[in-house]
Amino acid sequence: MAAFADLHVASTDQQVLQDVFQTAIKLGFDWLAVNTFLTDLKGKGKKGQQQNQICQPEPVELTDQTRQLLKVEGRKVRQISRLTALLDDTTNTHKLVSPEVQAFDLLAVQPTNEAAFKLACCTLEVDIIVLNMTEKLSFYIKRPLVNLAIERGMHFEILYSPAVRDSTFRQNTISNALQLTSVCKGKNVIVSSGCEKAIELRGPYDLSNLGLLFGLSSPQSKNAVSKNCRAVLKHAEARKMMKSVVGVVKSSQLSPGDQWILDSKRPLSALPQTTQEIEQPPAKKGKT
Amino acid sequence: MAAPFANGAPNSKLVFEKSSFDDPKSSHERVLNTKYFTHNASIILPYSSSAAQLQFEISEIQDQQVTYLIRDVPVHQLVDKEFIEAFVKKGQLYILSQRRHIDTHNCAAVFPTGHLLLHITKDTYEQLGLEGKPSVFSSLKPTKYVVDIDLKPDSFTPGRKGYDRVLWCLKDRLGLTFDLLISWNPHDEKICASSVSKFFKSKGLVVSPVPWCVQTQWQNKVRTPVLDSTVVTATEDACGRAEAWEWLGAMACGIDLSESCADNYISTLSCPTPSGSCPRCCVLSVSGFFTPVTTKWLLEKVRNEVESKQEKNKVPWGSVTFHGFQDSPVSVGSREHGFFQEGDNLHSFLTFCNKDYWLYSAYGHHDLCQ
Amino acid sequence: MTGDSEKHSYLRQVDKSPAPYFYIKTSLEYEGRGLETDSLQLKHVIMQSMTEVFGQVGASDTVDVLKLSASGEALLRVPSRSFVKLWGALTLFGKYNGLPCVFRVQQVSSSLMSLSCNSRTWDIPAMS
Repeated sequence: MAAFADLHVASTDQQVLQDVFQTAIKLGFDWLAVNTFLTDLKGKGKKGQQQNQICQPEPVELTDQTRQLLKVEGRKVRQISRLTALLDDTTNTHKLVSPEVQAFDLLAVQPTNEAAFKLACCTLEVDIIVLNMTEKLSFYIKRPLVNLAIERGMHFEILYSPAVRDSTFRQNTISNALQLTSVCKGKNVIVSSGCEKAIELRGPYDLSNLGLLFGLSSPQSKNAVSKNCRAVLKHAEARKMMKSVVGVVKSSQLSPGDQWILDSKRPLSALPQTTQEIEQPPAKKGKT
Repeated sequence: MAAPFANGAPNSKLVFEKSSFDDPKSSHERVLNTKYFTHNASIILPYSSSAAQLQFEISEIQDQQVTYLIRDVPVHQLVDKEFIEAFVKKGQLYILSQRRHIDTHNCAAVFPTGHLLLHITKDTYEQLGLEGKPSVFSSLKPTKYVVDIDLKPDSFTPGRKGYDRVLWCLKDRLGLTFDLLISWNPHDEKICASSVSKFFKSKGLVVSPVPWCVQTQWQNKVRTPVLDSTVVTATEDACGRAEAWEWLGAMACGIDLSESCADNYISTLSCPTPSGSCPRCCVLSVSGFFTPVTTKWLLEKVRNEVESKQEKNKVPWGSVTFHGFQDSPVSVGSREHGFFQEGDNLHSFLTFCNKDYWLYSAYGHHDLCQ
Repeated sequence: MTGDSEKHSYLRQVDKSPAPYFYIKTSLEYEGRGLETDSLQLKHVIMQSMTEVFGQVGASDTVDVLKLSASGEALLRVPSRSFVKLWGALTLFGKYNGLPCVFRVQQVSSSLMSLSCNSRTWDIPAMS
């Protein structure tokens, strides 16, 4: 199984993030994504450059206590940057391919109406579609659109921390989640926290049980915090490579850990450039 | 409406066996011999007074059965030829990775049969280049693989293609390291069990002995269920196996049953009926890394306690429970084990003074129990 | 005493259907600092969490607080049919009397015996 991941930590305050990370690591999460929320894709353009500047979040400095914990357990935590853009209308989506947006590891959109949802499912090159589940959805989630999005390897996200915060949110989250999971049959769903405080975080096994209340089966709900999150990250990696299956890396830029590729006796590696496969058949590059 | 999540609760299994230690076909030896890794043993002895003696004996055997924790062992050390010749092929070697969660991380284990088992994630498997099988608990698209390497054959030696390939794959490339729990029973009495620690120290690794943690609790004036080894389902004269099982659990967890009754607001768990009164009940718990040698010894001790004919300290029955590691890659023998929401694999002996015993084996959702 | 023939009688029974009860080891944590909880209050909090999420019918199954240790660790027992509901309710519970709090579930099992030890939290003295 893949490591447990929480792909949506909503807080932006360093102090709070340290706290959240410590709790999350204690609970068993290995991959954590800090979200930057973008309310408007417009901005930058006619009125001036400063408006709506998107900048990469600072990496979270782990506290000594957290480091100690990781050291004892021999674990490594991966920090991921993520951008979620609110999608009000279908214009301005070109902004999503701009370099400063692409600099984020993960891209997510939050469509608020049917046209935006359709656009997100059919054409946008993003990894995650997140719906505001705390309110009644203003549109129906249509199966063909969802199927198309699944085919394109995109994932739908359910945020649970609003459900912890407020009982009305809880009711809406559960009813919207049930609607979503019945349409997508539990496929390609990830469950993330969207938490603003450490106390709102829940453990991975809690979530693998909570998924059942969202209409997932038990293997599906465990996958929603592990395997599917890995798939999201792989999708993001592939998206950055554009539509390719093979990436080419210069041998001089190979990371030290991958230097063995050059040493293998395979004639291919004698070439100045070497191939690195993503997501595809196991172990081919290891064969001598 | 009432049960929208009917299949939600983990599908755990409880196997109950009733047999006698005198029965030549009794499976208790086999079970304990193939339960390679045990984390905790909890012993429950009602009516007993000689637990201090038992505690003393435990501390004595602890000195003989030393286990070690070795930090950050590169996994290729385990296929080192010198290591295989000295420890894998001779004596009995037990190795288990520690602090790795089997459902999310890479895990490793070595059994006395000479097999090195690696449970690895898809990402690691794709880069490793060794042949393996998808885990039996994975779905259509597996994310966990099991690589099984037999270390014992003579052909597994440097210079041979198979060995060189394994060594090359495990060495240098991925930097797979584990914190390992190691225990080795020498084949020869002249050899000290600690030589395995010397070997790893000579490789520059940090080796520390793993102490046992012994806890004894006395519960006074306990109500104990009346049990008869031949009565499995509850009757008016004796409690059944299900009731006994829950009672044993309650004792092991230190739950006070004296005040609870069926109409209590806080807890409705109470001692099953019929019950007897027992002045003192001893609950002894030992944690560490135990191999079959220790578990068999402990079972023997409990049996002695129960079967001793002295009228003075008569113990009609007693129990010992062996908790396996939740993250162990196997439960019994080579049967694959995993962790879903729980990773139970435990064996509990309830022994009677007439040499009958009840064996409860509880397994979690991810176990291939039949 | 039993006769010789019965003495060696072997019996094997496998329970594959859901166990009658599930057991949960959990602790109630408040934000910032711990608050004293007694088992009566804990039971009340648990019943409240069940009613909040599942209503009166959902909360009708008995949840037993078997033990509350000094460290705040509680052992709960619940009939299997309500196990998912109870765990879900504990997960979604976020506030008690206006104070943010959380149920941290440490271990679950269908046999009480399993909860007497947890190899995942085993802290080897030599390691630290």
